[in-house]
Amino acid sequence: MLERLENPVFRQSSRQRMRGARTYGCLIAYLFILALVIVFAYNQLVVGGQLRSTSGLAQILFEALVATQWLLVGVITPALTTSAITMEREQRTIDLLLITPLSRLSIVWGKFTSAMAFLVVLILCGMPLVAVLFLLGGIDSRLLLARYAMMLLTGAVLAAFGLTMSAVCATSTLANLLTYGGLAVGYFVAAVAGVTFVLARAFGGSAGSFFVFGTSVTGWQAWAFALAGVALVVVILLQIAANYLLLDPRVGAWKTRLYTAGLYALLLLFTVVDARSLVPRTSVPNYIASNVAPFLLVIAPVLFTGVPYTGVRWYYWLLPANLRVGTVQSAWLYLMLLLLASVATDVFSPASPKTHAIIWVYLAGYLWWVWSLGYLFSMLIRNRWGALFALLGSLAAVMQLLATLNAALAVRGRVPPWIEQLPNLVIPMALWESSQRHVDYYATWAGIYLVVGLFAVWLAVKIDRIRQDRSAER
Amino acid sequence: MAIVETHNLTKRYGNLVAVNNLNLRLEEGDVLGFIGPNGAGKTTTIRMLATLLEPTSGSATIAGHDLQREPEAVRRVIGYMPDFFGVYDDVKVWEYLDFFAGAYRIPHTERTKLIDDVLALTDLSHKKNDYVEALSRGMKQRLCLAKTLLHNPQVLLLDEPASGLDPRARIEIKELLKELRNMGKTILISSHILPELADVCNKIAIIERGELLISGEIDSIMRQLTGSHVLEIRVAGDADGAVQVLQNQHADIREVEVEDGVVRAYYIGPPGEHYRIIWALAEQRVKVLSFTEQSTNLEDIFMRVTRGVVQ
Repeated sequence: MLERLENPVFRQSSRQRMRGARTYGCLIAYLFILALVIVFAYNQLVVGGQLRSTSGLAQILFEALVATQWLLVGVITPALTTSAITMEREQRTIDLLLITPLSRLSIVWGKFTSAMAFLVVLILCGMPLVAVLFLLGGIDSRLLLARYAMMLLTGAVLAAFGLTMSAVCATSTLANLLTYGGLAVGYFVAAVAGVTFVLARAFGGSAGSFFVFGTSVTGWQAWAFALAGVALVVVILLQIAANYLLLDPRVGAWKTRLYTAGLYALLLLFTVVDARSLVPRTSVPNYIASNVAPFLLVIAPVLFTGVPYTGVRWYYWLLPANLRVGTVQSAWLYLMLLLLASVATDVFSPASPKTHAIIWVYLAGYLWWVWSLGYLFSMLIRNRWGALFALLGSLAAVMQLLATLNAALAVRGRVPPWIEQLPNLVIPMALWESSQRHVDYYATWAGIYLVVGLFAVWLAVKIDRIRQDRSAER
Repeated sequence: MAIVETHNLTKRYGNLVAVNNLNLRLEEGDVLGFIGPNGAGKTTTIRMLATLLEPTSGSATIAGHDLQREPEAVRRVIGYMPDFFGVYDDVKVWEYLDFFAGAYRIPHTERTKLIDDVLALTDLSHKKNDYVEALSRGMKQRLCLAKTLLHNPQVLLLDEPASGLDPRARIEIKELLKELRNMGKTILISSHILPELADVCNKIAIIERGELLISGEIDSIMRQLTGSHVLEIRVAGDADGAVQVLQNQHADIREVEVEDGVVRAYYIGPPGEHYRIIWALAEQRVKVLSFTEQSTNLEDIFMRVTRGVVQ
C-alpha cells in the first residue's frame, strides 16, 4: 500500500535539492535576514525606549518576523519550481522520465511536493526565533498557526504557478522571467487595487453604496473556502503543467476544465453564503451576475484561444460528449454550461434583487463575441500563446482607443451616448452599474455582440478555406 | 507473431516529411539494424515507437498494444535508450537506478538485487556508489542501458547506442547487445555506422529521407540485391585472360569487373560449386594467386541501396 504512495520523483528532486550547496547557502541567507530583522526591530524598540511591556515587544517582533518570512517565501518558493521541468528539458533527462509508466500528473505532483517539503523546512528553520519570542509572552498560538497556515497556502499557489510556467516554457530563463514577471504584475495590480479601494473609501461619497464582495463571510467559513479554493487552484495549475508534458496538451485539457468547473462551483457557493448574511442589510444590483462575471471574463480568453481542431462539422461541438476535446470549439459550450449554472444559482439564491433575465442574455452575448474573436485569432495564428496574446492585446488596444476617444470628446463638450457605450465591446461594464439600465440597452448590446461575433466566425471560416485551397494547390 | 508492427507510420513537420509511410515488422527475438544517414528519420521513428512523438498518420503496435490508444501499456513493455541523454547531477549510480526502478513500480524488496544484477550485466558493479556525472561517456551509455533493462522489457529501442564512444567502449556495447540478443530480447538498433551492426543483427531496414528503402532478413536482402556471391581473384600478370575466361562462364558468372588488378566476379551459379570456376581458370592456364569468396557486408548493401535513391 505504502509503495503505491511512494513518488520516485519526489525522492529524486528532494535528494538533488538537499545535496546541492546552493540550498544551504539559501537557508543560511534566509535565517541571517530573519535574525537581522529581529535584531534591528529590537534595537529600534528597546534601545529607542519606545517600549512599555515585554508582551507588546514580542507581538511586534513576531509580526515583523512573520512579514519578513512571508516576503522571503514569496521570493524563494517560485524559484523552487520554475526550473523543475525546464531543467529536465535542458539536461535532456526528460525523455527518460516520460518513457516510464509514471503518470504525467504524478511527475508534476512529485516536483510540487518536493518544493512544498522544502518550504516546510524553511518555515521550521525559523521556529527557534519564534520560540525565543514566545518566551517573552503575549503571542497567541492560534494567531501563530493562522499565520503559518496562510504562509503555506501562499507558498502552495506560488510553487504550483512556477511549476506550470516551467512546464509551459521551453527554457528555465523564460520560465523564471514569466513567473516573476507575472507575480510582479499581480502584486502591482493588487497594490493599485488596494490603494484605489482605500482612497475610494476615504473620498467616495456615501459608504452605503459601496459593496465589497466576500466581506460577509467570516471565521471558519472563510478558512474553509480559502482552503478549498487554494486546493483547487493548485490542482488546476498542476493539471495544466501535466498537460504540457503530454504529446498534445489539448488531450488533457478536459481535466483542467473539470477542476475549473469545480472552482466555479465553489465561487457560486461562496456568493450564496455571502448573500445570506448580506440580504437583510443591503441590496446589490445584478448580485450573482456581477460577482461571478469576473471569473468568467478571466478564464474566457484562455479557453477561447488555442490550436483549433479541423475537419469536423460545426454542430459536432454542440454535443456534450465532445466537451472532452479540449479545444477552442468545445470551449463555447463549456462556458455556456457555467453560465447556466450561474443562472440556476441566481434563481435559487437568497440574493436580492435577482439578476434580470436580459442581463444573462447580455453576458452570454458578450461571451459569444469574445469566443468568435478568439476563434478568429486561433484560426489565423494556430499557436496557443500567440492567439491568446493577440486576443488580449487587441482587446486592450481597442479599450485604450475608446478611452482616449471618450476623453477627447469630453474635453470638447458632450460625449454622444453611443460612443460612451462602446467600451461594452471590451468589457461588459453595464453589469456593474449600480442603477439598473433599461431592458432595451441590454437587448441592443446582446444583438450587437451576436452580429459582430457572427462576422468574426464568418471571417475565420473564410480564412480557413483559403488556406486549405492553397495547401491543396501545393 | 509480430511484436513490433507499423502501418504507414508517417510524421510530418509542416511541409517536411520526416518519416513517410513506414512499414516495419519485427518478430519476437529479432534484432533489427535500422540504418540510414543522419537526418534520414531514424530517431523520429524510434521516438514515435517510444510514445514520445505523435505520428501525423498511420499506426503502430508493440506487443499488441496500440501506440496512440494505449501509450502506458506500450511504455511497460519497451526499454528506450535515446541517442542523446543527460543524467541528473548529485545522484549516485545506484540511486539513479533506484529512481527508475521506483518509476517502474518495482517493489523495494526486489530492487537491491535487481540493481546489482543490471550493474553486473553492464559491468558497472564497481561504480555503484560513484556519482553519475563523474562516469565516462561509455559508462553513462552502459548505465542508461542498465536503466533500460530494469523492468525486463520485451522490446528494446536503442537509438545510436554506440555513437561517440571510443573503440573499446563500442566493442563492449556490442558484446552487451549480443548478450541481450541471446537473452531473447527483441531489439531495434539504429545507427549510421554500419560495421557496428553487422554481426549483431539478423534483420536490417534501410531508411533515407524518411522513406524505407528496404527491410528484411540480411541474407535474403543480400540475395535479393546482389543475387550473387562475389568472388575475388588475384592473378599474376595481366588480368585480361582471367576476365575472358570468366566472361565465358555465362551460366555461373553474371558480371566481371577489375579493380586495382583484382578481378571481381559475381557468381550466380549453384551454391557450393565455385570450384568449377577454378577448374575453368586452371584449364586456360590463368595464373591464379588467390581465390576468395568475399563476404558481403552491410556496407555493401547500404551503398547499393542508397545509391539508387541519390541517382
